[in-house]
Amino acid sequence: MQRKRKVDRTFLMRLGWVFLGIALLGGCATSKVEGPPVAEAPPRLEARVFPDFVAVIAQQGDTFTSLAAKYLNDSSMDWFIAEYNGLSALNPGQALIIPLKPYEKGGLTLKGYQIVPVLSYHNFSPDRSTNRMTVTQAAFEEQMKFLKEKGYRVITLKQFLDFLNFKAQIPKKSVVITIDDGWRSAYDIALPILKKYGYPAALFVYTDLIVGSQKTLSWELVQEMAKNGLDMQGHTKTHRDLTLMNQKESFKEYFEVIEGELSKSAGIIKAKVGKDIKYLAYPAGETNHLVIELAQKEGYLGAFTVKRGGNPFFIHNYRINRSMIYGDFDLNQFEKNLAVFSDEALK
Amino acid sequence: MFIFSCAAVPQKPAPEKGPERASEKAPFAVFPEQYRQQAIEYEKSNELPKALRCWEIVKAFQPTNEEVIRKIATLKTQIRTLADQHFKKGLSHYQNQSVAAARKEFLLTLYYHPDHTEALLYLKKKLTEEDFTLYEVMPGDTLREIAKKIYNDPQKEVLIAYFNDLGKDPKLVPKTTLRLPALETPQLKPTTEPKGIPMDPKELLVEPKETKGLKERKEMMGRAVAYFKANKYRETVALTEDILLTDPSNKEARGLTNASYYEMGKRFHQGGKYQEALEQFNHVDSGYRDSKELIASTKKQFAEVHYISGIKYFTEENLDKAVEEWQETLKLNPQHPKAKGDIENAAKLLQKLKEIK
Repeated sequence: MQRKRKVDRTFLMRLGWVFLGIALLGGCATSKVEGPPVAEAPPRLEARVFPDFVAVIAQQGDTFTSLAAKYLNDSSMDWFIAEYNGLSALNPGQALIIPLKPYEKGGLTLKGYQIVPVLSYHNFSPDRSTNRMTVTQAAFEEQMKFLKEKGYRVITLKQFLDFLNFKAQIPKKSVVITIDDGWRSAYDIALPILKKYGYPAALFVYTDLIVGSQKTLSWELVQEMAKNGLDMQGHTKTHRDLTLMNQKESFKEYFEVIEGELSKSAGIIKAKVGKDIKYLAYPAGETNHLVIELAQKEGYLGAFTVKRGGNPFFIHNYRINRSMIYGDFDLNQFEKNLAVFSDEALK
Repeated sequence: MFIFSCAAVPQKPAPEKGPERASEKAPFAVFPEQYRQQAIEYEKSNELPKALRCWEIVKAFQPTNEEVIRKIATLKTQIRTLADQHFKKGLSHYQNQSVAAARKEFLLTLYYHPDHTEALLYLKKKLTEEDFTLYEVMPGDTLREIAKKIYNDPQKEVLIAYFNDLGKDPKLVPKTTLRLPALETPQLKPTTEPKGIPMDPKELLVEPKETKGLKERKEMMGRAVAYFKANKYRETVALTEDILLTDPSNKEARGLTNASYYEMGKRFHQGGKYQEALEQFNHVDSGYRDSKELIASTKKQFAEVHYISGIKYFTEENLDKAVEEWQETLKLNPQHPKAKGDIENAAKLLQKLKEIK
């Protein structure tokens, strides 16, 4: 709002100079009235601000990023301007509309709707992949580079949940990156690559694994990763399948244990990292009605399975799909998990 | 003041009047025309909300243009009518349990009216299977009785208490609504071959960590045990670690992993390969058997190897290397009786050598 008011004031001042300029230079051409303020060219009129949008004539040096910073107070909203105007590059003199509110929530059109792929990684290795759950450093780098080159935008869990709740608009080619468990390789291998590309990612840790061995993260490393922008979230305490009851357990014991799996892990992560845990990745991706109710009751806002596929905004918030990226995937197989639109025509 | 002094100049700027407004010709005149054309295109393709947005842009530049005002009013009415029609159709399909058809209609409702909260509610909550049911308390109800009635199991009173923030033996007020989680038939974790476990059809849709399903894990575990019995520890851990990646709470795999690394560590230790032994012991969970003592013993012996190596370098007058070895000694055994003193002596010698030079 402040920004809009500021733009309004600037606009009015500029308009004042224009009228003054017309009066002095046009109407009084023969009179020798000297007007010192007009001797310098008045600022150029380059934007008109309306309640729902700003009309802009792009100037030399303007970029989508600079315009997003100026008019939307958020330079990362560059895509919002580019997509609305159907442009991939900006040239001086181009006429643009900058909407001031979402215009296509949920990516919903008559031709179909947006879906958001959520990629699920587990472990990484420096050279060779020892099993499907381990992705090599080279493959991970190649996949991240692929996302950049093909114009995908990696978004945060918060942006993703706002999309799911039909509150916000996100880039058309949005992708979410998640890493499960808490293996040390997330720090050694994944983090530097994510930083290189400026990608946000969520790390779902099961707290019993965070013991700081050769293969697992320590809480110090988890904290360092959080400082580097990784979003720490819950993956239970022991990674027990929440949907299965042990043979020797009574129902009461089973229920108390799975309740502890969700509450204790969230408490530990909060104590160690200093933030509330809002999202859950089910161990082995398994869930059921009871687990969903429990997750909601414990204050989780959304939870992830490992059912392969993208997510439209109307997916159940506690049955979010994720596509596991395996160590033996080539780029073609990787790309198959990146569909961003369902062309289920509505008309 | 300047304006009034010039009779030939209009005293007021011309009122805003349609596309011909002078101040719009450059550079903003392009907007109304461009968006008028776009609006017409969108109307032709029935993308009415987009057409409306374009007309709103035109109107912002031409606020008194009657044609544009009328166009906007007509479009708004059309859009509202379409949203209502699709919502009604959606409700009808929902009542007839035609989920796919209902979803399509609710999506169209939201397309035309993005703030239609009811359509959103149906899409997000009502079209999917409910995770809970609501129960209205009747006179005389207790948690146990409700649990027996709903779940056929009085022990499940614990669920009702938990999900409704009720303490033990609460006094239930009639007509209060309770939220009860829906329960599938509980699945038991198998201890034997999982042939009796009912397969949830939803699982067929899932491609979980589970590419290694129970059966495959069981088969891998069998092979791992066979390898372990044959003292093939590397092969054993290759399998058990794979199982643990998909099922980290698998105690059998965890136990066999610990045992394998433990055995490998012990054998390296007995062969005097302390570095290798420590690497193996590092994989063993802390507290496993006597691993703590074994690690301490290995470190002590490995420290001695470094200490002796340091002495060797010292006698060869390679003081830098000697100090390195003794520092390693101290890392492994901070209580080493001689290493610290020898490092200090070597440092003094090095200092003197520098002074002589």
